[in-house]
Amino acid sequence: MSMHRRSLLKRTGAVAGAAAFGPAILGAPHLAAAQDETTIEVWDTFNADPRKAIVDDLGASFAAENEGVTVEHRGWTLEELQDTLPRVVDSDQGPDVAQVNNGESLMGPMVRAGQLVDITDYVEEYGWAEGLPDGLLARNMYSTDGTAFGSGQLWGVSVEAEIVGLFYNKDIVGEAGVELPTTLAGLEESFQALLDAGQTPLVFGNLDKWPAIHLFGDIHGTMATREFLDGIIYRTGEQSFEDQSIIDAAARLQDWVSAGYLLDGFDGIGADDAAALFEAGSGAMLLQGSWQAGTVGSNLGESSGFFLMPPVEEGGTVLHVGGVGIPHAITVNAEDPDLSAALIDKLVSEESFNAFVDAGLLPAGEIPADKIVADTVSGDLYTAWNTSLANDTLGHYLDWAAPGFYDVITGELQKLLGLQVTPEEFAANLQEFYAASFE
Amino acid sequence: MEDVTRPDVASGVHDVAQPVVQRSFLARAEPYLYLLPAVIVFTAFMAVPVAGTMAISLTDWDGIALSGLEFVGLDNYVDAFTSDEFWRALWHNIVLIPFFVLLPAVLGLLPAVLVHQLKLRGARFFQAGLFLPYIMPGVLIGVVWRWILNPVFGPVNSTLKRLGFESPPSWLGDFTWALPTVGLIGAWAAYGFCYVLFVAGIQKIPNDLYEAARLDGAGFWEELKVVTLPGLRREMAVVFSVNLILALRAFDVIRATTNGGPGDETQVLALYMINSAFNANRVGYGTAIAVVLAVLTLLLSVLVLRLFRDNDD
Amino acid sequence: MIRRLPVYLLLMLGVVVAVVPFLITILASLKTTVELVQGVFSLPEEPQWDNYRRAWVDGNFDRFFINSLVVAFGVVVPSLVLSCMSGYAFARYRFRGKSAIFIYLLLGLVVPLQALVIPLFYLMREMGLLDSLWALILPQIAMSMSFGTLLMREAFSGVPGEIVEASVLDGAGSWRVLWEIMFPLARPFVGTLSLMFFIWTWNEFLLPLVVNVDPTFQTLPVGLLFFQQRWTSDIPVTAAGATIIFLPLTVVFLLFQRQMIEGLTQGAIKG
Repeated sequence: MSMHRRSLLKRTGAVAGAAAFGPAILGAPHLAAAQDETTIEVWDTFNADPRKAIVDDLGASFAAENEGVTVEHRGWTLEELQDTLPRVVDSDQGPDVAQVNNGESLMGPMVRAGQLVDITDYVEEYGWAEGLPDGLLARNMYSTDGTAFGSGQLWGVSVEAEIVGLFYNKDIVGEAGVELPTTLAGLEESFQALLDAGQTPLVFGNLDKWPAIHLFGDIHGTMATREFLDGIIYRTGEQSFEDQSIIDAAARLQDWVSAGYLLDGFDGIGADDAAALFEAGSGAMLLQGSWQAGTVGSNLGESSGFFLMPPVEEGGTVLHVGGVGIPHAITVNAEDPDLSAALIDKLVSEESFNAFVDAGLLPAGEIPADKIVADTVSGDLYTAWNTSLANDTLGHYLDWAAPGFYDVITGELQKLLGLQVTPEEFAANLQEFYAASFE
Repeated sequence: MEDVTRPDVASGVHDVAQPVVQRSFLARAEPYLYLLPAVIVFTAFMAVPVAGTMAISLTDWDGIALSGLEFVGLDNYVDAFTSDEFWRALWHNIVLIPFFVLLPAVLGLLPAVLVHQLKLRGARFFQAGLFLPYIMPGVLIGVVWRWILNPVFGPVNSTLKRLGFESPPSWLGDFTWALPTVGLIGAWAAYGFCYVLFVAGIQKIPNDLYEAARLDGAGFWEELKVVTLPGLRREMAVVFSVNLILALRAFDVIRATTNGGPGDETQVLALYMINSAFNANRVGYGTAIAVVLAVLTLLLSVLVLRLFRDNDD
Repeated sequence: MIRRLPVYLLLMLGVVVAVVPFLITILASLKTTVELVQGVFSLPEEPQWDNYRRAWVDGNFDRFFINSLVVAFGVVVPSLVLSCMSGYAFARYRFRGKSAIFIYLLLGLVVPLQALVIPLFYLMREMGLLDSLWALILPQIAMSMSFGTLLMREAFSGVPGEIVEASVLDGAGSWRVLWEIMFPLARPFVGTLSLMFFIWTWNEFLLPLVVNVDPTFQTLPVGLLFFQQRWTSDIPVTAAGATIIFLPLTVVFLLFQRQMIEGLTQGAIKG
């Protein structure tokens, strides 16, 4: 689309220069598209099958439905997309539609720089919000000036979803005579029983630093209120990390470490290696996200299951780490925002939804009952997701709380897990950085 | 700087061939013509971006849109010098210096000397073997060493356990061991470079020096001290300054192994810079750290080059 | 000699420590994810050659490989020529501003690349080179100038004055002295330098990551990221990709190494 036509003018001089430089492989100049043809460029992180194939197919069918429209899909790695997108948009180039990571990592800054199109009206027009609880929509919201997160206008819509929970190995758990726990204390009893049976209760590896956010976040989710969590993440300024829920969760986590519930040597093991250990049959449970379901299922088969972090008291509420995935947004360089919105509608259509489910992935929305196969790891996962969606009990990733908070909370969690700090010091250290981020 | 004090043998020759008085404009322009292409490319694609970096370091900028640049003077530098993270990261760089600089030099020098002095066969084989780590991409070095040091299935700890150590540390995840471990991995990656340079350098040392030393009855260590080390001074200067720079900029291996952890035990300046610029969207602050890092590197390399300057001619 | 055996053993140990990580990578590239954690040295039940197919085809390594080759040669050859010229100027001539220019060029050594990538992005944008391999080639030539100049100055300074003198008396111009007398004598250094340039360029990760806006112009190391999803990565396929990256380097090294040794012996005789 626009990229080709608009930038061609700017680039003509350079192209002549480049042509004089040498062979075409070094970067052939783009040829202007014919006048009545429109190309919609989509940049996302769906760079490998099955996701890539799904989006490619959806693009092709969109092009077939709209005469003169071509869809160009580029799958990137998240890191590359994140580093490139804002500067490319700033250069009046780049995609019409792109995945923009939530919160201060990218969406906030891009909204403030005026690089994204407000899609609130499209959301209403197409009904993209139907079936999604407010809690999830808020994540793709910013005020028009990009200062307030979690309220105001909508800037993106998610295609996929994710939820963190516990995968378990039915053989190992069954041998130890452990029932699926319904409370947090019950989970700890199961851990102890597994430990006594000579098993590794919880496979976990934190060398990559981020897994602890999920583990701590899920424990904290059993103790936190929605008000606290939303307040912290959406930066209302009313909440502090020196909250009893943070301190209690930190203490609980340290108890787990001291009791030996976590895989021995977890601080020196990467997340992928930990998952592989679990999938190889060593260890009873694995705390991971829905994204792991595919490989768990294919390696452990019928022996694998999934359940969510149980509440403190039976029937209580847990705010689970997870939510909808990285949203698709429309950039201000989009030649025809209406057409781009129509394409996004295609990406969240029923056709797309079914394709994701059929591939064993978790699309952002309620999974229809006829797609759920009981007693499989994906069946467990879909059921858990539907419940969580219906009850609006999806929490947040705590590292969203402030720009640069990821490095702080991951470092502090490593200190906590290494028993280098007390729960109170942990909370105080987090709060110190969090408070400074408001200045 | 050292050129000023050192008589230039080669250019002396030049003067003999073409007496100074008769040098034409072209002859005088000659050295500049040789330098011109390098200087042009260097200026356009290094110096200009460096100037850009220095300019950005004086601003508060999130790196999203150029229009968001806001001049803040030296604020970023003040922030850096008053932040604990900065000084801790710098300290970690300093701790890494012996691992990145001295250790690889020794590990590279020893085999180079042995192969040369004992006239061992298979020099090529050893050269190929020892240099290999230098070829490995930084990202991969991290992945592989994480396996080797893995507490559950890695060969290091299973060997230690077999030898009777009940609970060996988890190395990269251990608050005490992480930094030295990263240092050792850095040394592993760097010594091949030293070895190759030293081998090339030793070949240039005239054989009669060794023969003379042997006639004087010099032993292995004496020969090393009197002939080899002085003969390798230039290579030493290169190896030490290059590896010192690598120690100060250490990034790839750390990013791929610990990413600064546990806690911030292996957080070094380059990592702190990148995290500030890209994770925290504080590009101005990140570039200020980069400028400080560059100045520091400059001062320390000048120091090293001075230590190794030819002060005997 | 009695002393040789322990020395050989020591050197062999050094080689083993150097080579083992490569073997581990190759082994890993032939395993399944689950087999990975059953021991670093365990053999795969059945070699998973499909990992290579996936790296090559799904990971677009076929395309990245060509890009990497073009960039590597596009950087190494010009860098070498320019380094020889500038090193020669510093080793052979005395001229006004010599130390100043030398120090200026050396400054490149102290500037970390991480500090440059963002300004480079905007520079390449202004030149309209963002979606081309030029954005990778030109900055890397510039980055090579510092070390190249330093090393070639050292190399040429080491060439005995009498040899140059003799050829100048034979009527050789400075250009001929550089390429026909100095260059061959400095071959071990030229070999080392070419190899360094090649390795640096071949393994460069950050520059292509930031400066490139079109994945079709990406190089191999960034391609490794491709097997990393948001929270997971496919390690065996990554290992296969890594093997595809380091095998050619090893071959290049072994080829150059022969030349280096040849140069070394020649240099030793003439020196």
